[in-house]
Amino acid sequence: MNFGFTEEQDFLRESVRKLVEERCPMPEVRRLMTTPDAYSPELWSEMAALGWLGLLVPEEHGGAGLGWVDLVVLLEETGRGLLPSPLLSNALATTALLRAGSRDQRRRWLPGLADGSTIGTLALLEAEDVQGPSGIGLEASVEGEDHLLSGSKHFVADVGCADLFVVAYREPSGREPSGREPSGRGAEERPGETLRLALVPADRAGVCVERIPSLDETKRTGTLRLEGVRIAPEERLEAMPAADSIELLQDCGSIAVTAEALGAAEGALALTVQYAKDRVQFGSPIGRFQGVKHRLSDMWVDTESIKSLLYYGAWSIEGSPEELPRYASLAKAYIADAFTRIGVDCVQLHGAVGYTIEYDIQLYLKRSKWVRPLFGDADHHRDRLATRRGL
Amino acid sequence: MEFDFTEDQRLLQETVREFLAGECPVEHVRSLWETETGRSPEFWAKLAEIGVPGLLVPEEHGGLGMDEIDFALVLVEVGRAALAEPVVPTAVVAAPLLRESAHLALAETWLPRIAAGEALVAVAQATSPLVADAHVADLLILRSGDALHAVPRDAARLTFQPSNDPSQKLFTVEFDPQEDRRIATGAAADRLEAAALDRGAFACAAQQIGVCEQLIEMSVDYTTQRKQFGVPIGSFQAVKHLVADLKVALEYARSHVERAAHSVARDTVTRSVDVSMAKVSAGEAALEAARISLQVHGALGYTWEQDLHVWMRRAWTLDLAWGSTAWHRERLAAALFEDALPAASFGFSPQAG
Amino acid sequence: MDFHFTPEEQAFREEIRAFLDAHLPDPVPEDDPGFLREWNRKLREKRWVGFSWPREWGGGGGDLIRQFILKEEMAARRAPALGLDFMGLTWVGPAIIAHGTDAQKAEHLEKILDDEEHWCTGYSEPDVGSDLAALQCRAVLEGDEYVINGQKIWTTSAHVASHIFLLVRTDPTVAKWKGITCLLVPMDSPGIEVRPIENLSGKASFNQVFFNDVRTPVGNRLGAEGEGWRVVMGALANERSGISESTEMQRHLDDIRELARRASRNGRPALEDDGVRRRLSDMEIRIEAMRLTGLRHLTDQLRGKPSGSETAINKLQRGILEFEMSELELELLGSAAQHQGLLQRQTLAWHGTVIGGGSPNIQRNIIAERILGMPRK
Repeated sequence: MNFGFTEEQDFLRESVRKLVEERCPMPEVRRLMTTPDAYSPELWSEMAALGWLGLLVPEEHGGAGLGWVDLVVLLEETGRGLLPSPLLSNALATTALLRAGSRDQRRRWLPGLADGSTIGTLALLEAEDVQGPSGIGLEASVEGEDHLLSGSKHFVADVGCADLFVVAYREPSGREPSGREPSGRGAEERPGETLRLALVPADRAGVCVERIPSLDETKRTGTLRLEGVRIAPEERLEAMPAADSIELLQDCGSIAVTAEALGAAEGALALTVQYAKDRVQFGSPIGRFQGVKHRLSDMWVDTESIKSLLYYGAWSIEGSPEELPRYASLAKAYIADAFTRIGVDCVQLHGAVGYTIEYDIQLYLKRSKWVRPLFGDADHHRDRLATRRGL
Repeated sequence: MEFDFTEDQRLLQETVREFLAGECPVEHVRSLWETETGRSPEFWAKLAEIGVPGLLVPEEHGGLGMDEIDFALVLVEVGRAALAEPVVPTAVVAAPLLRESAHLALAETWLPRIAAGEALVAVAQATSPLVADAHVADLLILRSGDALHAVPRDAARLTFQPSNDPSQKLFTVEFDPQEDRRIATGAAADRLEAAALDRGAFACAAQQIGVCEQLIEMSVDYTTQRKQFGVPIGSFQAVKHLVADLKVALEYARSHVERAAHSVARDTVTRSVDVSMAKVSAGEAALEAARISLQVHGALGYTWEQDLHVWMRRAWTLDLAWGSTAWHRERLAAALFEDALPAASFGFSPQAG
Repeated sequence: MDFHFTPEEQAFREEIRAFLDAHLPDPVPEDDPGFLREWNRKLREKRWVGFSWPREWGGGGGDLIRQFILKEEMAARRAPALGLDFMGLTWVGPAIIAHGTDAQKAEHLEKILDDEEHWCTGYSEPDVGSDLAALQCRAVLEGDEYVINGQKIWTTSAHVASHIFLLVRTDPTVAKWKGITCLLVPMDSPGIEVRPIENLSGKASFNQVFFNDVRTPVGNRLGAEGEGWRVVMGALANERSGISESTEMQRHLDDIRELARRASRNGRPALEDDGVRRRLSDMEIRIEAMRLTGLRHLTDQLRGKPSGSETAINKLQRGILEFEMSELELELLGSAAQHQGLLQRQTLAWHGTVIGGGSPNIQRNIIAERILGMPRK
């Protein structure tokens, strides 16, 4: 087993970092924050051309045919620069298709997700804000072979610019569950109901989106409202039981968010270290005071510690799937708390300027608040880890 | 409104402090570890001369007739000296329990003897099956069923239970309940037991203040003298900040303990909540002080010869006595979230019925 | 030890409550200048604005206990602050009372109470934050005028102020804290420029203030030349129990408990979650400790003991508690923490409060060095 990165991955990291620094430095980040969907279509096309959007997509469908470790490297670097883009949402929608889509569905949708013409996102959560399969209450009505959805999905990332939604819902009683055995991965089936995962194009009749202003303006969120939206059989993702694919998407989501957040935490730390070197008080750069030095090194220890969990978790998605749930929870729990502390500490270490809008550090503070509840906060994951151990 | 002690109370504190500095230096504490009982009747007799065992005993029975507010600062000194004699069970818990029980004969027999330093009493804690200092007690107050019993030691069967703290002597106790030894039953027994718990917990919390003060003092002294890289290690920000956080924890715990003294003495409606707050914050402050002083003393703290761990062990022992931090935290949570008891009522302490 | 108040003190408490029942709407209006003006007019009639100031200067002449009671009752009902000009009432007025000439007292004090003057304080500079004694803004005496050049930063409310309470360096040749002088300068003096600074919540309350050959008469100097440090650091007549702060925090905690009652956690009501209960209890213990510790400080003040650095203790704990409370709130909001609601924005605002009081590390240094006597660097 090789626990380092390959040359290609190091090169990927370098080139992403460079591109983010050149094409989306902080002034550009701030400009994108004022746009309705917080991303640059030009940059999005460039990212597509560089193969970033199709990283996970097999070459036959126009992608790079790489894996989650590569994606994590990409997300770390875009996180470091707080790059506003639907990259993370798109990657998860891509994963839904790769794992739960039929061959025809993959052929139909993956090229668009890879070349940037289709922006995808997950729509799983509902108003009760419960993670995972047990949080799915939206019930479809059945019309012949089709399902009709009326209801809403909440906290949908990139809801305004998405072309394609991956929606989870329940199909009511009367129908036999699909032939497969419910897996041991917390099937959460209700008696007489079947969990479903389906594709809903944004331009389908009855689809309406509501953007909700976010505290972190480098990100976008909102509500997906569905009014009699028709879902044909060929739009249902059934290559694996929906309960399993939802769990998988949760875990992949945790890994992806952790990667982006880790990059952001490192970006915050770098900014603060520089400030500590530049700012002079009592005749000395403040970085020389033990109180400052020790906090900075504590933060560095946190970011380094989380890397092993994250990279192993990313590898396990393809390399050791039974271990994924555990590592996804370990990683997300750790980063949720650590990035929260780092966000606050970095602002505080900047003294009064940390509170101004002009300095960039407050953007990282806001990112830490965005990250924390995504795919479950630290408490949720600790609970999950304890349950898995039979506590 | 006056949230402070009187001059007389401070004077009593000074007196006890000087007494303990002379009669109970750390060498005395250590020497008792080697003895069979770990306790010193000679010392107790001297303690009785300054009135501590009978502090809560009414004057007509030969005591000082004072209350828990008067005792608070005395208990801080007991903690500072790491004194391990059964001050809490005998003087703080048993004396007022006997006084408050309806069993006059028992009170008249034992209160004068307690005040005179001639009798020690051990009391079972509702929160633990272990009885401290049962082996030196003349009388044991024990629970059986719905009754509290007063049991002479020779009528009880004691089994020693080892503990981490050589100062602490714990026993499991068995006895055959007899009707004529009952102090109280039913609701009366529950009330006495509840008061015993609150007094015991308050007294341990007060000692924790003294333990914490002592540990901070030792840490400040040590870091002021010990040099590294040519400067005292106490000048390093990291060290200063650790100790400053301790000081805050101490002062907060002190506020809780002092208020709890008032709540117990005046038997206010919020007594149990106030005591639990005091036990939790004082326990945490002392435990944290134990941890941090070990850290700033460096490797030196681990050796047997270092006095530091005398107080560290006291911190651990006191934390577990009369309800651990966890137990009191749960009692507090139940009061806060279920009973919605006002822990803070503005401007005045409501009197209990 | 006695937590009772005298019948007279109790009657004062009842008087305040009756006033609040009669005049304070529920909920308290926010961002309503008309309401605030009217509210303050009524408070002024009671002489509760500037309650600790001498009656001869329009204040209430209130003793420490009654100041405490007034603050506690107001905070308990979440009433708006007593008086509209926080800086004027808290810092400037008391400094003028202690160090000002009769002319200065006559000129400014009543106007502060009536909100006809609005004050900001010019202390920090871009290179001078915690190390305030190193300030550089220069004032040179020319005839009977000071000529001021330099800049100040983090000046709260400078954009709406009529006057600035300015610390300047009049003597660069002596030890840094010795050459500082305090000037009372009208903001419409020629040569003053104000630039607002937007904070991370999107509001601008801080400002940069530039001084370009600004002239002000010698009569505007507060205290003697070189005494500025003493003027600013001097004891205020105000009670220092911190009761307003601890009461506000108690109210905040009550709100969080309500939020926990409505929210759910891991599929169960949040208030039944062990972790949530533990954290709420811990905060309850510490806020109560803040209140009690404040009462101990008040008792010391009542007994005439000089105030030392004990306020650093509550200040340090406040910073830590504000952080923990806002974090718990955000957690209870779940995914909604991502949104831009009022509660979410308030969880950013505490950063400004904490910085204003001096960062936690500064408080720790004060506690370690001045209270415990540990060696300075």
